Amino acid sequence: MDKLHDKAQGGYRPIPMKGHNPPLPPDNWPYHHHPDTPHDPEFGLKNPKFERHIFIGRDQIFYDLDAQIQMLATSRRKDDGTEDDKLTNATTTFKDMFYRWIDKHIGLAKGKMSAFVLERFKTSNMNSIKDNEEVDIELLMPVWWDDTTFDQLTNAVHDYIVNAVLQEYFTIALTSKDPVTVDKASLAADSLSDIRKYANASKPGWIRKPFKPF
Amino acid sequence: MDQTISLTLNKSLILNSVKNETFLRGQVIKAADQKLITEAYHEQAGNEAYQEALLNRGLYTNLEELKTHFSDYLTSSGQSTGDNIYTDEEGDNIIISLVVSDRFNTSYTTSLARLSSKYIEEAMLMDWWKPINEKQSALYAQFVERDLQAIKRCFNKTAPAAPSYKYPTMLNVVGSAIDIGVGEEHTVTYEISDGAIDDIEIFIEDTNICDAGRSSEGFTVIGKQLGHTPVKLYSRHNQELARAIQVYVTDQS
Repeated sequence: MDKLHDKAQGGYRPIPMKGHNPPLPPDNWPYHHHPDTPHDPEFGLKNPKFERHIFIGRDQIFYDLDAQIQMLATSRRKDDGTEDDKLTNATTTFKDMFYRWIDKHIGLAKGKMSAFVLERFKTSNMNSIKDNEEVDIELLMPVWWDDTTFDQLTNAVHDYIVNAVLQEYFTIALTSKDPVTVDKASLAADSLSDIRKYANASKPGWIRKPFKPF
Repeated sequence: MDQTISLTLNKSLILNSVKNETFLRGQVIKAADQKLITEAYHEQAGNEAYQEALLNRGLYTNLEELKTHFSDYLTSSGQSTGDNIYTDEEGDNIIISLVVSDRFNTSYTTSLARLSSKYIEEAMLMDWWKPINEKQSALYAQFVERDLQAIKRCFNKTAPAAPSYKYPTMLNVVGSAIDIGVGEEHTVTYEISDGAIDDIEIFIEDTNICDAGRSSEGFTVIGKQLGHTPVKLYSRHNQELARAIQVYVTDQS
């Protein structure tokens, strides 16, 4: 068997040798613990060649929230020209509540990519509102990951957070039966499955896992 | 971010407009029928003590009523006691401070002050005619409703401002190659676009050759071993904004 073929099969050798053809790890094994991860001895787990960062700026999220709530308020203006009181001042008056929702949904979006997330080791956590300007989602992507979907992945994370937060807000402001709330819920679910799709997109023709023994 | 707007309502101006309107009404009654001269006199608000007291009561109670419509925008003053005594402590001007969103259209600040004044005047007239002329009072109740609508319309927000990209869009590294000895330090300085948040990081291709650390001016590169390595300075938020320099660690002796 030639060397190239050997490489393409992820180390699989038809004649079992000591130390080769290990059993497949369980499916929920985080990628950075996976024996296939191209560890760099210089950097350990933090291999900058495979590290990706998705920065979530809160002002960018807030712009979308503000703009969409304003659009809805304008479209639902009453005949006398006054805006729907329910939708007028929320993002300023209840800014902290929005922070909490944003945190919650960043966490859920991370959860969808959990196999690739490089979470810093923590021994304690607190349910306080985290109002940092920017959240950095650190990922260690596998070699087979299709880099061309990085933009779509970032957009999907952004869209998911915006739609899910709007759904939370509209559930209170407009009730869960309102068509806009229902729409936002389905859009959030779509974005969530998009995150999964793009995070798991493999390069065309790439053999993702070693073949199982025959 | 919120902003504070303050509305100044001139008390004597409000009282004067109320007195003027009641005076005009009295004059019309008198002109229609000279026999109604006493009725006209009592419909006209003047300077008598009981009339002044009534007008003052109307002014303050309607002011409070207006404040309740602003309840979303009033911040707590920390006051824990209240009474129903009207004092002239604030002088001739009543100041209402409102905390509004930064997207409040400030062209409406003057409108709000004028409409608030109009609201109080018309509500006072409604109160004034309550015991005298029921029909007239009902008419003013309609005006009050209309004023309230106009006041509410002032709180329509403007569109949110688009957020900016706060990180560098330009990166210039001073020099393209450095030549240092083993154990020698050299500071690599760089320029970024004005006002941007500095998020520049350094990446050394071969860390056996040199090491780098942050300093106040830029990055300090220390030679470790003879050789050559490319070193890349890049923006943490934008990998494409990167400049490479060459580091040569040579025998300087």
